[in-house]
Amino acid sequence: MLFRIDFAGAEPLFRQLADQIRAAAARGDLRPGQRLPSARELADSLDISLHTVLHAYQELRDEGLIELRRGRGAVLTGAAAQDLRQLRDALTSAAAEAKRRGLSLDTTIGLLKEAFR
Amino acid sequence: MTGQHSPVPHRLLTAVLTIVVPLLFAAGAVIWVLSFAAELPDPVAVHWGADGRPDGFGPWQSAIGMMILIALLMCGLAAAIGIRSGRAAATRRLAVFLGLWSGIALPWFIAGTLHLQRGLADARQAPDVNPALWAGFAGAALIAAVGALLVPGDARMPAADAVPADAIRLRLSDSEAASWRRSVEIPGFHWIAGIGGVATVVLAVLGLWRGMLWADLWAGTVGFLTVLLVALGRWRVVVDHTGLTVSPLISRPRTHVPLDEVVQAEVGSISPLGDFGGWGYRVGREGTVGIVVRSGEALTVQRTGGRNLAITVDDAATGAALLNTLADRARRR
Repeated sequence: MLFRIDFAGAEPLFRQLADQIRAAAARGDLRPGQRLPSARELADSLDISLHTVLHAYQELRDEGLIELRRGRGAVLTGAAAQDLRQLRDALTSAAAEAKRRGLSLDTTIGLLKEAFR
Repeated sequence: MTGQHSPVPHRLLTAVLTIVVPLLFAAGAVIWVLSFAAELPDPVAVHWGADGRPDGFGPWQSAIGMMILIALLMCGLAAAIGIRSGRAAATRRLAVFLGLWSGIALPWFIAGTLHLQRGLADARQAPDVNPALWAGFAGAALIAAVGALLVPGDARMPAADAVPADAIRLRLSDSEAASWRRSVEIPGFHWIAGIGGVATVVLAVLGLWRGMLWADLWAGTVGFLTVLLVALGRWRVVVDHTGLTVSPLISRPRTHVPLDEVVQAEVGSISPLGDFGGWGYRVGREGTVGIVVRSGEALTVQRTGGRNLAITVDDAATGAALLNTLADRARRR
């Protein structure tokens, strides 16, 4: 998969990374049992600190999306098999509607947060 | 693919390793056979059946003569590949391996089967030649691998021109870093590894416990092929700020193309038999180095000095686009 990090982005780097892995799992690009690159390799490859990658992996482990095993690295769990197509479709149409009304991303996320409560 | 007009380096060394050294080994095999030719039965066994018993007979001169002829043809082919299109070190290494292996394995295998018949009154008593076959082939592979390691690596050749404007690109702002990683494996990789491993253990136990030599020989054969398929059956492809890196499970042979040596990356399609004559780590047309584990979508990279590379991998479009984009960035620095 393609990992990308925007150093000028508003989100912290570890969150950008975690979000991409979540999105890839939701799209089905990452499947249960599949292994993520080791934290050391990914850190070197993106030229970021090891700590950042580990932070992202730990967050994903706490959510149950990946398992961290000594020597085997990070492996996607069964939770990654969840079919999120319907949710993605709904969010795509929500995003289209927000754009049509000229709402900013922050405002839209604010509405989503409200709906989550 | 371009680059046919770039010079081919190290031609003399390639010729020595693909022709001269194999010829010396072949001559050595002939001299060895001549030293005991008087003690050979006439005719000698020249072919063995699946049961390990001889089933074909002929004069020893034609047996070794024929094998040397085949070896010479193979060495000639290897020399032609290495001298005409050995622009990349990997192409020269593969050519040297082919030349050395053919020039050593074939004559020395025949010499070995003749040696086993020394002193026999009748060639029908000739023993099983499987051990000689494997010893000859494995020994030759070892020497050929050493020869391939003697081949000098790629010279640094930064590109002079920009990546062509019509090459595919990825939207990537200057504040962004990106890393594309994929692994690609032969279809049924896990099945091959599992079944091959179990079969090896069962055959080895059978051979040792029951003292069945054929089972041990098969265990060796199946085990060797399984290890080879596992070692070269799965590759990892990475595009990042260092360039393109491709390596198998055992991490060698590793191919690395620095960003400033990328002329252009594209998406291609590979037919293993048509383009590379088979699967694995191979040489194709114009010396293109191919990492071919299946047919279909491939990432193809033109590198400076006329060195071309092709890797079968899914989502090659993203990999090629990122490689071109990062190569642009490296040129601006």
